[in-house]
Amino acid sequence: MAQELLSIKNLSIGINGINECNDVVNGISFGIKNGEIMGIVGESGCGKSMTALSIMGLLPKNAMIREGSILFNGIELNGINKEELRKIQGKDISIVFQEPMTSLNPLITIGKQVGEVLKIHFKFTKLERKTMVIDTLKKVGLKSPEELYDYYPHQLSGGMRQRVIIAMAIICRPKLIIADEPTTALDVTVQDKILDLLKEINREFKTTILFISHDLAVINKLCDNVVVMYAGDIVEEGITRNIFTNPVHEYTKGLIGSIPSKEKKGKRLVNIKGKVPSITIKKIGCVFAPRCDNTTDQCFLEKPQIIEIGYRHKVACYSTKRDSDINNVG
Amino acid sequence: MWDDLVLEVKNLCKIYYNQNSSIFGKGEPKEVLRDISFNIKKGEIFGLVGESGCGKSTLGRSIVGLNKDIEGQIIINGEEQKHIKNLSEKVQIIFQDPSSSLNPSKKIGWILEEPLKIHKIGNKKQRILKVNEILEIIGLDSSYRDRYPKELSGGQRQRISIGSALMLRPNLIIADEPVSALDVSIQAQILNLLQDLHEKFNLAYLFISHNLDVIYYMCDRVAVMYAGEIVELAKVEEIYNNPLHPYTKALVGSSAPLDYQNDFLVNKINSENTVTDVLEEGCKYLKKCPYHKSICKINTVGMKNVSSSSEEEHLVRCNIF
Amino acid sequence: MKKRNNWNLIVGYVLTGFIILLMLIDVFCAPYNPDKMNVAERFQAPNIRHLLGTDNFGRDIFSRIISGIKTTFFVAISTVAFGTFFGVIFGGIAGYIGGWIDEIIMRVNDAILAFPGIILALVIVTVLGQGKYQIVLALGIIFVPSFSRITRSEFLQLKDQEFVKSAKVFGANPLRIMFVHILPNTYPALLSAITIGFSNAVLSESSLSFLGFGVKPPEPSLGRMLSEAQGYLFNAPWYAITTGIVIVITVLGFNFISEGIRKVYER
Repeated sequence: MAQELLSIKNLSIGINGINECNDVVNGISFGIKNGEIMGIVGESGCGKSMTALSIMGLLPKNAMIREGSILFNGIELNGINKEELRKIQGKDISIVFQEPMTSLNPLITIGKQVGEVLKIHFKFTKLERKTMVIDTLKKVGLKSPEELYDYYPHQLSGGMRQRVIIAMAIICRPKLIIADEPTTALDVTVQDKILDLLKEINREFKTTILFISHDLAVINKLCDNVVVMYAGDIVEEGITRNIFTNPVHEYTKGLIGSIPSKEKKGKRLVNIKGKVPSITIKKIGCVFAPRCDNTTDQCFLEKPQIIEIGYRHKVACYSTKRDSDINNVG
Repeated sequence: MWDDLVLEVKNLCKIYYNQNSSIFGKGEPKEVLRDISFNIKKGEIFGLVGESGCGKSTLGRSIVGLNKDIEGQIIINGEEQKHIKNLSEKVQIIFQDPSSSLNPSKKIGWILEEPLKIHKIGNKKQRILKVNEILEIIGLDSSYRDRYPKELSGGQRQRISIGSALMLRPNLIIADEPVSALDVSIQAQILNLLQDLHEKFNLAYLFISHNLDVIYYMCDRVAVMYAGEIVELAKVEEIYNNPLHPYTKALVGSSAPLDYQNDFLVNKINSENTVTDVLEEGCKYLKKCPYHKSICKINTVGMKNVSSSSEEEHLVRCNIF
Repeated sequence: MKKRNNWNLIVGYVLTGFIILLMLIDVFCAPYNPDKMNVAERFQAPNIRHLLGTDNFGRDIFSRIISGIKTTFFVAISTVAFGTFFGVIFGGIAGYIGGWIDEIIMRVNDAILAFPGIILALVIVTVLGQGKYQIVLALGIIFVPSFSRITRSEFLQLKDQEFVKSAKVFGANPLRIMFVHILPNTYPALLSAITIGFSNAVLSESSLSFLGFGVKPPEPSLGRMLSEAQGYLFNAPWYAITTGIVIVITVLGFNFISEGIRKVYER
């Protein structure tokens, strides 16, 4: 029975605007079990990146966790003091960002940068560190790691740099890796290999991965489970295959219907009417209701709770309750 | 037969000289495009797919007249590109980044009117009528005329880009990654819009993208580019179901369609896609190709038609065939 | 979080507004003719009849100061206008076209910049003679390089943007692209430069006049008044102090406005 490594409950993150504080994440809850690869998928502004940053304590200056709990391995991360957080960052939780260009210091060699993470958390000798760095560089699929040790970031391609960042992320054998759109800036064929690498790391070291992306195809390829976010709320979550073959929430259906694919050739793609609401608008009822074709009055009055409708399949939608009620009658 | 072609490209080449610090003399040559040849029929949606650095954007820009130093021929509607006086009325372009493709200091109405003003088409009243007409066609209303680009969302800005491309009623539009910078649901809206316009005006598109699924959905035929060359050209179903060139196979294998359950046999490659620095002989894909033979090192390969049907071509640039 | 006021702009407006008010008083209701001498009343300390006292010729200092502001403003505005006009043209052409034209324009720029501004202005004024218009020409030439550089750097950044490429594909000719499409996007940077240019022009004109190379007497100029006041620092210190303060307020006012504008566009 796998334990929950990361447990998020009622997390709300607010951004301080000029006059007020607006929520970009509205009281979400979800959990990741040890050894799982979980994806958070959603479009820009849905709050997925903010959620990831809040776990690591990397929220920008104007944002803050308004309420909620982030339990990592039994430790509460919301409100944890800086010293304790620093011990965890890089060692037990590490993060891989989207831009390989700006994530590496252009003035320091690859070897030194990857070794830096070890230096901060462990007491190894210089030679031991170097050996471990070269070993890790090899593990992430970089050829001739002894040579690469002395290279500078600008001498490597985008895909190679991203591998270096992954090396930095795994060298301390963390329990959790948070990957925030790590392949978006890469070519398709390179993206593919990075995803394979992450899968390999999960398989070999049993590292739990939280993978954030707007690209459903990538989530489908890599993640065991997925959480769908819209405008700061979780609208659906479950096993990836189920979500994609049998989406229940109207937004998830719309999202999957918008993606061009072989079968849809010649047909119009699904158009979700309206647009994502601004964070300054106070939301009453279901966030997605104004854009949904399948609403009742209740949808506009009260936000639907997340309910379980199948094996590990949860949805925040009244229509499913309606359907299941109908099915339960008689 | 020939006058139902809106575009013919013959042996197009472009060499880019790396600027070094001296103002005299050229720098190192980089072959950005080599021996590009293809046609687009009237009203056809022709796809161009490849990864970053393959030259697809350079090709698109050359057709629209933004790159002058090119060798080879570009023939639009039967006329050679360099002899055409009003190129802007024959072919237009839509760019990828909606945040930099509209002039931030001008109102939307001005931006849409500008092509007409430049060509002295109509008087002010007539131009405004045309602008309103186009706004309606792209799904926005006339109130947008007084807004600035920064007040619009990415999807709306892209619509304006499309609208401004339509003002001069071209019959060929180069769409350079028109949806890559947009959210998934907005992508769908723009793709639907492009389809509608295609049907309404019988527009031909050169649809450039790195996303094979989008290409499959939108296009009739597609050319696959690698390191400045076209390596394969065929109907989109052919490319997807029967990819021949090793690079096309790798591309199709990694595009991870939403419904794929099985593991494709993908070529695991360790180094990345780069444009060759020097004019090289031999096949450009050599370093990464698992099937290469010794002649691949010296033979500059040409395109061969390997299609069994006489109607449709399936061209490949590879020594295996 | 409360809305933060742009203090730079506010202070700048207040200071500059004060100076402009003084100038308007001169235009509409100057208390005395600034050139009217009245030896009987020389070196009077500030009193009710002469708000800021009188100078060595018995001329009302207050009237002279506000008349001097007019001259200074004229020189400042004309200089900046001259510098901006030619600076934008040359900088725009250099930035957009590039190549050898860019090289030539930039080397000429560098040549002008290599000389300390005041020395160059002195040379030009010596050749052309003293006077308002000669100063405008001299200072104007010195101001062209900085506007030229700013414009050029903006153009270099903007010319590769896609909206410029779009304009080309629409068939716009280079001149139209440069001055109708690109130029409006440089206004924020230019605005900041223009306001700093004002304050520099005021200082430069005052310095030139102080050195005796400025506007011809008896036309009042703040700089020359300061120079004269130097000699009477112990008899009539108010002469130098008031003149100096007015110069400082003007320059500070423009500097604050320029900072304020910069902050507005920083966000």
